[in-house]
Order: sequence, then C-alpha cells, then structure tokens
Amino acid sequence: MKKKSAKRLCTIFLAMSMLLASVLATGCSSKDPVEAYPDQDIRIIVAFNPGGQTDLISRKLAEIIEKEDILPVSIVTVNMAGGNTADAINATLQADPDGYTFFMHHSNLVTNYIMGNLETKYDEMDMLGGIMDQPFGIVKRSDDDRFADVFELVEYIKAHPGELTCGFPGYASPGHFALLQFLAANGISGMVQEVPYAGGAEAIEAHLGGHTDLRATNMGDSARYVASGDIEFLCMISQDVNPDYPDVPTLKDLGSDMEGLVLHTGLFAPKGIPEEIKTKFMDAIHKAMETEEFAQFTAEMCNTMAPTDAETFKALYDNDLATLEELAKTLTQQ
Amino acid sequence: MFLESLLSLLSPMNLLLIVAGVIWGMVFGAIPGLTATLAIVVLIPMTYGMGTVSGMTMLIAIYVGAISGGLISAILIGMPGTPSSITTAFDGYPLARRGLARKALGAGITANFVGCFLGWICLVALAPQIAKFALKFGSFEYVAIILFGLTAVISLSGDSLSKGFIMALFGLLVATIGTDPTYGMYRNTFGLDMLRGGVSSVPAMIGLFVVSQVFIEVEQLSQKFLFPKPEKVGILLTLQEWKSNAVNFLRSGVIGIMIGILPGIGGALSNFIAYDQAKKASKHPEEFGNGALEGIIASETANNASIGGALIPMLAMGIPGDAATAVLLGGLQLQGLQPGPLLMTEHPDLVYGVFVALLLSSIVMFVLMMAGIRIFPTLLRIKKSYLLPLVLVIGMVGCYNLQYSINDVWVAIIFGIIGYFLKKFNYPTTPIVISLVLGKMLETHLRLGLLVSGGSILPLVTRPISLFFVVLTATSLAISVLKMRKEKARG
Repeated sequence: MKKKSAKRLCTIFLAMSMLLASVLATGCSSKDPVEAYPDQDIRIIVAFNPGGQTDLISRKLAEIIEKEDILPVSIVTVNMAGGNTADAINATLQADPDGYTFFMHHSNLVTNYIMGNLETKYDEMDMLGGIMDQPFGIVKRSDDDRFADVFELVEYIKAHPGELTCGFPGYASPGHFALLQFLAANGISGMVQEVPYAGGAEAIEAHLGGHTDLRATNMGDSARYVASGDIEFLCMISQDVNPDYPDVPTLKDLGSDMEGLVLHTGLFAPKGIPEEIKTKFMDAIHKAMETEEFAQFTAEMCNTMAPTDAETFKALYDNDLATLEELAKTLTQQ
Repeated sequence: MFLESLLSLLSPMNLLLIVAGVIWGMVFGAIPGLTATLAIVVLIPMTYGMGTVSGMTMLIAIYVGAISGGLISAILIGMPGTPSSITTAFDGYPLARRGLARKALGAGITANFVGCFLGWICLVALAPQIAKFALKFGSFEYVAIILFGLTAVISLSGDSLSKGFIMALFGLLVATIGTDPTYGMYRNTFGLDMLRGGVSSVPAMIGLFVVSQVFIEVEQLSQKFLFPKPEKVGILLTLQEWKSNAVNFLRSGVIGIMIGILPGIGGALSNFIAYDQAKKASKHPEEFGNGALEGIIASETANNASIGGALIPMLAMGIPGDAATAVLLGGLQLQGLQPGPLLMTEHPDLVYGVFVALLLSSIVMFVLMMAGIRIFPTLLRIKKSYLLPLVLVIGMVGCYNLQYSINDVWVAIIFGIIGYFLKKFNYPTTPIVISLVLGKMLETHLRLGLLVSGGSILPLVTRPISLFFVVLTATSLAISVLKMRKEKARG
C-alpha cells in the first residue's frame, strides 16, 4: 500500500515538473527572438570540401566557441562544395535572415566574379566582417637550378617565353590572379603557361613531382614544404616584406608599385538580419579569435588575423574588384 | 618505438575508442549513401578533447570500419553501401540468394583483413619511398592509368559487349555535364541550375544500384525476403580456397595499394580493376557474376588495401590520398599539427600511432565483423515490404548529405528510373558508373597534361610510366578480343 502511494506521488511530481518545464519553455519561445538569440544551433556554410583552409577556420572557431562557452549553442560547419561554389552562395542568399545561417568565404568571390564564372556579386550578401588575411607568393623547387632568385627567374622567362609552367589552385581563383599580378608587374604577361589544378593539394603534388616549374601559392599551402627544404619562396606578391620570410624579395624590390592581392577570408550572411543579432554573433566570433588557442592555430596556418568591421571588409573587396578588373582588362586587350 | 606505441595504445580507453570507431564506421559503410568521409567528419568534434594520437586512432578506426562495412549491404541485399564495394555485390548477392550468405560474408571479411594488412605492411615499410615514387605520376601517367581502368568495362559488361560500350559512352557523355574542370565554365547544363554542379558518381550509383533495384524487387513482393535463411556453412576459408586465391589476394592487394597512393583517384577504381584482373586471370571466368568467391575476394582485398595506400602520401607528404584522408589531415590541423614532409621526423609518436591504430583497427574490424555474421542476416532479413522503403529513404537521405544539395537526390531518383528500364532491357549499368567515376578525371588530367606539354599528346608514350600503362591497356584489350574470337569460333 505504502509503495503504491509513493509511486503515485512520484507520478504526480513528474507530471507537475513536466508541466512547469513546458510553461517555462513556451515562456522562452514567446520571448523576442532578438532577445532570445541564439536559442538553436547556428550553421556556417563553407563552399569547399572538409579539410580545406576555410573549412578548418570555421571548425576551429566553432570548437573554441563551444569549449569556452562563448555562446550557449553549437556552431555547425556545413560543406556545400557543388557547382564551383555557386551552390553555397545560393544557399546563403536563400536562407532565412534570422541569424542562424552564415557563410564563410574569401576573395574567390571577387576573382570568379571578374572572370564571369560567378553571377553573384559579393555585395548581394550581407558582409559581416573579415577574419583572416593571407598573402601570396611564387615558389620553385629547391633542386631547380635554372634560376637562383626571382631576378634570374624574370630574366629566364624573358629569354625563354612560354617555356615555364606555373600551377595554382583553380582557374580564376585568387592564386591565379596573384600570378597574373606577378607577371604584369614584371612585364612578362603571357610568357608563362598557366596551369589550373583542381585544388591546392593537386597543385602542390604536381609541383613537387616536377610536372610544373613554378607554383603560385598562399603561405599556408607552402610553409611546411619550405621548412622541409623541398621548395623555396622566390617572391612575395606584395609591397611589404613578409615577417616570416624577411629575406624573400617583394614586388617593391622588383621595381613595381603594384599592391599584391591578399586573400581576405570573412563572414557573409543573407541580407536582413537584425543589427543586434549580427552584433551578438560577431562579438562571439571576435571573442573566440582573441583566445591563445586561435592565435596559435593562425600562426600554424601562416595566416594573419584580420578582424575588420563590415565597412572596412567591403571596402577591401571593392578595392580588389577595381584593381583586378583593371588588370583583367589590360590582359584581354593584349 | 613501434612497441612503445603499441603498448601505449593498448590501454583499455584506446581499445574502447577503436571498437566504437569501427562499429560507427561499419554502420556508415553499410548504409548506401553514407560515406567514410561523412562518418569521419561527424565525429571530428568528439576528438577535440582527446589528444592527437587518441583522436587520430579513433578516426582511423572509423575509416577502416566504413570501408569494410560496405560489403554487408552489397552481399546481403545486393546494394553496395559505398562505390568501393560495387563489384562485391556482383558475386556476393547471388551467393546470398542461394543461402550461402555466411560463406560470402566470411570470404569478404577475410579479404578485408588481408587487404588492410597488405596496405599496412606497405605503409610501415616503404612509406617515404613510395610517396616519392607516387609524385612521379603527372597528368599523362594519370591519363594512362585511367584508360587502363576503363578497360574494366569489358569484364563488367555482362553478356553483350556492345551494350556495355553504349553504356560506357553514355556515362562519359553525362560526365561532361556541369562545370568545366579546367576553366570553371558551365557547359551542357541545358540552362538548368540543377545541372551546374554536374552529375556526381555517388548519387548516380545509388540511383542505378539502389533505387532501380528497389523498383525491381517491388515487382516481386510475393517473395517475402530478399534472401533465404542462410545455411549453416563454415565462415572461414578452407585451406584449398586459401591456396587457390593466394595470387588473387596478392594481386588485388597490390592494385589496391597502387590506386590508394595516387591522390584523387580513390577506392572505387581499385575494386573495378582488381575485379577485372581477377576475372581475366581466372580459370572459370563464367562464374564471375554468378557467385564466384574470387570476385568477392578481389574486390574486398583491393578496397581495403587502398586505406594503407591512401595514408602513405598523407603521412609522408601531407597530401591526401582520397576524400577521407583529406578529412583526417584537416583533423590533424585542428589539433595544431601541420602535416607535411617533416611530420615523420618531427612527430614520430603520431606516425607510429597511426601505424599501430591501422593494425589494431583491422584486427578489431575482423573480429567484430566475423562475430557479426550471425547478426547481419537477422538484421536485414526483414520482410521486403518493410525493408525496401527503409532502404530507399535512407539512400535519399544519404544523397542529400553528400553536399547538402537536393540536386543529388534528383540525380539518384532520375538514375533510378533510367536504371530500372536499362535492367528491364538487359543493359549493364556498371559501365555507366565506371565512366562517371573516371570520365571527369580523365578529362581533367588530359587537359592539364596538354596545357603543360603545349598541346602535344606524345608524352603519353614517351614517358616511361605512362608508356607502361598504355602497353598494359593495349595488352588487356588484345587478350579480351582474342578470347572473344576463340569463344565465337567455338560457339
């Protein structure tokens, strides 16, 4: 008898607590969505397969935000690699502007748009701000003794136009444009055979195997092979000396005042997200970027942190678009 | 050093991680559409807190489980769980329908283990040298080896060679749809947005092997189950079977490792080539496709040997051997390591950890799967009217999960309908998948090669490695033609 009543008491208690919980839950959901943000998982779309640099940056941020309890929800990376990045862009444009879908991408948006491979312009999306910057360079294999440095390289190309091949990840990619800049800055446009590989790994493999002579690359793709002595940087495609490689000549040393292209990685979103939600989300991202762990991760990947605000980020893209369009025009006129 | 790693990895916690990883991978591998890559990606966040070696151990266990698990659905319900088990279904399913499911599973699992082990030996003994050799493969070498792979169409065409060629050409045509691999321009999309990404081979495979198979099975609902209750036959290979398959094991293993090492080609090609070669070498090729153990052994040895192969360029050079190892590399980078040529000297503990993890995972996989032979048939011997809708829905979800794109689901459905009619008119569907897997790769490498060579096709026969494969291709074709003439003369 006693047992039975205890059981009943238990049931009543359970029922009451469930009722209370449901009241609390509805109380929560009836709150203002801006106030309640975030109360469900946030997804960050990436236009490349898992394992690439953009994918890793997004996953690292998600990991830190979760570990340090910066946001009460999880951030999920969603890889949509289809349609030459168009699938991911369309998914972003069509997503609800509720602050639960963001898009991490980089200067590919500018270069592919210029070459007509992409119909969407970057400012059709909301630009939230920058995260990382990465400069580009030209590398050769260490055992290639036809040219010792970039000055000899330029002479060699002028003497043997069309002989050398240069690989890079993807036609119309930022790496491709960095190469075009290097060639234009030295007045040797069109004298090197441009070879677009499917991705960074494929370009590295072909270069290491001796199937291409040169490679246009961002720092992260090459630092470990420079460290192992397999390849060397010939030139940084920028005006400033790279702090990690102070001895490598820049475009300035080659007598050009061209500003080199920098790979700007940042966050995008569908237009129409309430200001407060954007601020809350970006604050969380910035907090994660300030951690020791993220600093270490950035250094390992040879990136530079560049937490720019929305306006600066857009201005960078506008500037790149203007200069690169100019470059593309002069090339097609030739 | 190796022993130290072995002892440190033998802790109960690590063994638990391996067991959990293998089981998790097996589930993903067995379900059509869920890939090894996805199985690893989903569990990467779990490895964050584990430390590099333990995390890596678990991810490798998942990889081994996922590649091995594909044979369960291939044998029992005739629907390959992954592209690397397509040829397993050809002989496994007929055996299962004859009540010999246990025999087929036993042979496949043994082959999995042998494949893993051969790959492991290569990885441990020769990784740096092999990685250097693999770098010698430029675009023309890839073109030659892909051409060699395409000759597998002959063996996988079924009764009519001309029908097989028609299907292979259809596949090559479909492979041209989508984004141009060199310049990124859209072509043959008929103005449809959904075709811009092209037709990927995995959803097409699910359409041709799962969806259309479901349609065909639905027609015969009077038959309640897909396969009869398995007879109680021995699951281990007999001494005689070991003896007669020794060459087969070795040949398929070497093919699997070779294909695995070459970045970007992947395990699907290794089971086509190994199956094709096993059939050509066999004394009774007519049994292939009707339940030849050799076919299962060739296919499953090769796809598992590819694991060790794919890990070689990853550890030695920091270059992924396939999509799954690309994710493993990403996992390492998230742990704060930069894999590259220096990994072996700077982080030997990790490298030895990977060696040990691969060995332990294959042992655990073998034990678990052998023990599971009793369970799998019971799990899948559900009434057709319940099983088929379930398989169809899971396959669709799997397709969507590949790239979170509804287009892939449409591809699977459309190819399911195409496949249904092709099967009705007795056209082989495998050549379509072979062309889809290889077509775009062939074009990419041919065009890159021509860009580098300045438009000359001659390097295909002047470069030694590519010449070797061109000769191999020609020989393979010649043997097939001669055989057919002989058969015609006889018949």
